[in-house]
Amino acid sequence: MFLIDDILMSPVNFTVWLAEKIKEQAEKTLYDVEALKAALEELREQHDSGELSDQEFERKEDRLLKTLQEAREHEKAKA
Amino acid sequence: MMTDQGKYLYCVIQSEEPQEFGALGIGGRKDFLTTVHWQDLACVVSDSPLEDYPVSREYTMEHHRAIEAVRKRFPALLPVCFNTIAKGGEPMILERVLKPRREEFLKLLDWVADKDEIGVKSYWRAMEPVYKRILEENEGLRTWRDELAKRPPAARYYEQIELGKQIEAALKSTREREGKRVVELLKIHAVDARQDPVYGDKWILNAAFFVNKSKITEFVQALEALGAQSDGNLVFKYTPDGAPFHFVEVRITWEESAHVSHR
Repeated sequence: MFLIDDILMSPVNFTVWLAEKIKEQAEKTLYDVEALKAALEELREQHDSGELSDQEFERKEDRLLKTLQEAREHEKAKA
Repeated sequence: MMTDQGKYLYCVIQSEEPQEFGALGIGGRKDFLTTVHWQDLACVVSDSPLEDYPVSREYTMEHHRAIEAVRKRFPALLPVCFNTIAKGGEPMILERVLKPRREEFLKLLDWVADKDEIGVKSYWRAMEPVYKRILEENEGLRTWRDELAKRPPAARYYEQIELGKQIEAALKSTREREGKRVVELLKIHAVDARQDPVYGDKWILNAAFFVNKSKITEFVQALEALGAQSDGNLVFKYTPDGAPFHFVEVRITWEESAHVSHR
């Protein structure tokens, strides 16, 4: 209850708290390793079934692999 | 300034003589693939800086290309996990990998010697016949859809979403059922099978089968028969003659003792 009271009582604290929550949420979404791995697999499926050209696949895969690497570094830094 | 050097490990083979497989080392420095020996067992390695290799297309390709080059002369091998580097070089490989695990490695090499990994992927070419079949097989969903179609759009909005969810669930179960059916039929001709998850709606299977070399023709015939049964809507893609990545992989934790993951 302390957290809720504290947040409600202080608009400044609330703003900081909300900013932290948004950052946490953004990091979770951006650096969700399992979701990134699933996205990579889905990309490979699309390439295998001819929905994506080699060029488009490589461009998207590179981007996802880069994010995956950042996610792993982020996890390592947090540990 | 010299960077600290280690040995990058690719795979384990059975060989008493030193081997060399060309300038195919990971990292783009053209390091040579050579071997570290203990009796009749060898680890294929290249010199490498003590840096992590991120999972990129370039490094993954180099890792696999090196293993494929070794496979041309040594078809029976045990792949080592990507990004495994022995900081302590050759002595570390001898003391932490080859000597303590020799018996185990030899048994596994014997087990993989007469088998090939075959990758099989399958997906529906068109989704319309699949949805049609789901509705044919499910009277409740069919009646619901027909009732909703008679209403004006505003009066069916939320129920339409609900119907969509139920069709999605039915599709998921159809995909799983189809995937399982294919695996069961192909597994008869294989020693073992492993399934990887599939994600897109049209995908039913991403699997690897470990097949005795003497049974490969039978396996491929069974695969062709499956393709022929599906009115051409089920596409099968297969990758023959692969290293046994899905069935044996040497994982090494330097902090503890080396161990093999015999999946």
